[in-house]
Amino acid sequence: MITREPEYFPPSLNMLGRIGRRALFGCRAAGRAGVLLARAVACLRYAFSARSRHEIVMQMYVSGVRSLGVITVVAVFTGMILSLQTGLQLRRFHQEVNIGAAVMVSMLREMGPFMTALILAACVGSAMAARLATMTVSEEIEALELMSIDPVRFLVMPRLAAMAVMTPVLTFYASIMGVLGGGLVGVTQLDVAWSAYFYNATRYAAVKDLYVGLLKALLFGIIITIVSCHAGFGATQGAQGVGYATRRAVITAFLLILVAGYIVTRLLYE
Amino acid sequence: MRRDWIVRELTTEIVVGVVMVMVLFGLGYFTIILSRETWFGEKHELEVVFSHTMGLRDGDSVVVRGMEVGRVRGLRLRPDGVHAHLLLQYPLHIREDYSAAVVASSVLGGRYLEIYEGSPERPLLPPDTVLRGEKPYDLVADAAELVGAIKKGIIEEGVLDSLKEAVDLFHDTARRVGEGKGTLGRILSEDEEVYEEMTAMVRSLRVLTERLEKGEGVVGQLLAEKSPVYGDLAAAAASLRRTAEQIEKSEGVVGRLIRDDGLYRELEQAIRELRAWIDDSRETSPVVSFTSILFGAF
Amino acid sequence: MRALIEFDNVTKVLAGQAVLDGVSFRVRRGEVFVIVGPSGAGKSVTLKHMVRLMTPDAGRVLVDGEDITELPEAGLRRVRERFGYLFQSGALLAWLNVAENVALPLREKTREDEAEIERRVAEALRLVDLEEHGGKLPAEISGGMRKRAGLARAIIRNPEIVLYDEPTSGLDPVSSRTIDRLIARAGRDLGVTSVVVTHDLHSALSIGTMVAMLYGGTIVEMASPREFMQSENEEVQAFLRSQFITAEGVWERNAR
Repeated sequence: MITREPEYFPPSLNMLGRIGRRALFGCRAAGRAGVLLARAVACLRYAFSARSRHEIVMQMYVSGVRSLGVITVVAVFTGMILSLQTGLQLRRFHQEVNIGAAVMVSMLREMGPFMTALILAACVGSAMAARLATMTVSEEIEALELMSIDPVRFLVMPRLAAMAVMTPVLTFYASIMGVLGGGLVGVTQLDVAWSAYFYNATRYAAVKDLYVGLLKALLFGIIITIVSCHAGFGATQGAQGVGYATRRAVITAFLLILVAGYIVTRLLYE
Repeated sequence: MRRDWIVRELTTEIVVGVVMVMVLFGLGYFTIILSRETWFGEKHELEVVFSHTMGLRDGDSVVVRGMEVGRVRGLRLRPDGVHAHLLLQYPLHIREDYSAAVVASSVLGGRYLEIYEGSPERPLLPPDTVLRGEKPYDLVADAAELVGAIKKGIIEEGVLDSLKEAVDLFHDTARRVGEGKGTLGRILSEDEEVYEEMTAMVRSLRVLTERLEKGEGVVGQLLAEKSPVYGDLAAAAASLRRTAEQIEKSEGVVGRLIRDDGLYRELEQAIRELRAWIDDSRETSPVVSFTSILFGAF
Repeated sequence: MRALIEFDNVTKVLAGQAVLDGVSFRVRRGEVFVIVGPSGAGKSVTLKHMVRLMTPDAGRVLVDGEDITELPEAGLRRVRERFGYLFQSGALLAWLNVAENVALPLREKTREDEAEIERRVAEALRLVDLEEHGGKLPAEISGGMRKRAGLARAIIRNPEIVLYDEPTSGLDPVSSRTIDRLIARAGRDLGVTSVVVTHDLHSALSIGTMVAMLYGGTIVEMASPREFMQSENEEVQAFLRSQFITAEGVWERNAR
């Protein structure tokens, strides 16, 4: 069951008790999020039923296609900044041509996945947490459970499936946009020819860079969804609880994205 | 009302579908480009054995007469050396006096494999011959060797003293040429160009070292400890130093030839800083590259 | 006759306070059982225990003789199928329109074909006077209409028991009476057993066949409406007075 009875613990008297309680609550939250993930993954077997498929496509539209605009802007400017920064450094040695490689590799490996994940956590994750939190405090989740509709299957699974697909897609899109933005600066500010820029860009990046970036994106998408849904389901106490759940979802997702990004890089580029 | 709803839903699904299809195509396209696979067109294979590959990597280019003709596809260590398997888009007619060598493509690293097919008058080799690659060509080491040989020859053959005189004279002239004195100076403008070029070269090396030391820009990232560039730089610095020492010891041969103490000291300094930076980067490179990514991006 | 719902000495502690302190009562089949009491008396908590959205800390809750406090998930699902639940705010899903919300239990849990679903949805919407508003989103209709839509959703699968959580709170008197009539109609026409939680004595006394008052975690009075009004209990008297109800006034309205 997703809905939980309100809890109450008498205030702890000493520091040690408070720390211990926080630690235990943290572990419990991690455990619950893990169980939520496992259940959502188990529910993926329903993903191809007509109703779920429709819901997944809607979620892909809401979380993916609608984020294209902001991602385009951020990615293009990130690429432009990267290109300008490295270009100005390289110009001292007349190596401006190499900005292609620098922009491409950093977009594919790190900036693309990170940037996309942070944007999605801020835009889509927070909206997801707010929506589920609102549903929780207005008893809609309880209503679903009473109708014997599994909230995980009904709400979490479509979001998980949509994000697991859309985050890599958007990441790839963001990387390409970043490289284009970098090329724009290269051509207009640094006098590098388009062809030279792209030749250089594709020469040094490896397929591994592309796919490790997409793997990271997949992981980030799952993190954002599960963290947001878990925070949403845990909301209490009306409108204030919705705000709190949203804030917690975004912060937790940011932190986990940073940590997970480091771990993946560490594991796959050792 | 119901119709509207169906239309809206269909639009959503189509939009999502279009985005997905476009991205999948893009992904496929990029995969092909980045894997540098020659999926279309002719394919010719060639194998080269090296005693030392100087950091040649899978996917590096193969160049014949300055033209890119294919890629390195797989390196295997065998008892007789490293076997590099090449995939080429053109058939090569290898003759007896062929050569195959690994060449550095830029200061910042990167290698390519240069093949010379041999002169046309020599007999052709059978097409499935395994080529023998040359020992890597190291410009700096070569220069050091040359200087050593000159020094040895000069000292042993006792021409040193007479050469000294000649050099003193030459130097005097050179100084005056440098100062632009006399008509000779203008006549010898060619020499002046050489001099200028050398000065400029040493200067820019110096600037490079300073920048590297601060870990500025992507260069910092590219020069992460484990990348082959690091090894290259270390090797380059070592041979530069060797050359410098030899120049120093052989006082008066090359040293006097230049005799510009300032220039010489700058070279020394540059080498020392490069060395120190390389040692530093051993510890700091992850931090440097991370921060430079962050600051580079925002 | 066996009770349909039975609370056996149920105790529930929330936030360190006993919200329910040994509550026992029985709801018989066909009854409209109304639980009244001031805010925070544990009325909603009682209702939630009936479908185990909450589990008692002590005591038992029996539905049709079956103890639901320790039922496994599958059994619980079977028991919950027998209930319809009208939440305080209606609990409609914000992104579905009214008709889709009402159809949700049918679409998700039955294999009815679309035409049959549409027919039943139209029927349920007619019952709650919302035929005109099926295509609107919950945000576009008033609070009273949302409750009526929630009611339509609660009864669409013809449950045996319908639970109403504050069906008239936050509504104007006219809407409140409409809801009252709907509850009465559901009991009369569909033969369902109703449990209503409210602090609105007007509606409690006009629709209830049995009225119980929760105060301080226990049931202080449980009687038919007429007897309830004549109760000697101090809390009941105070509660009646606070809503300007005298025995005669309501008696007249019931007689009419």
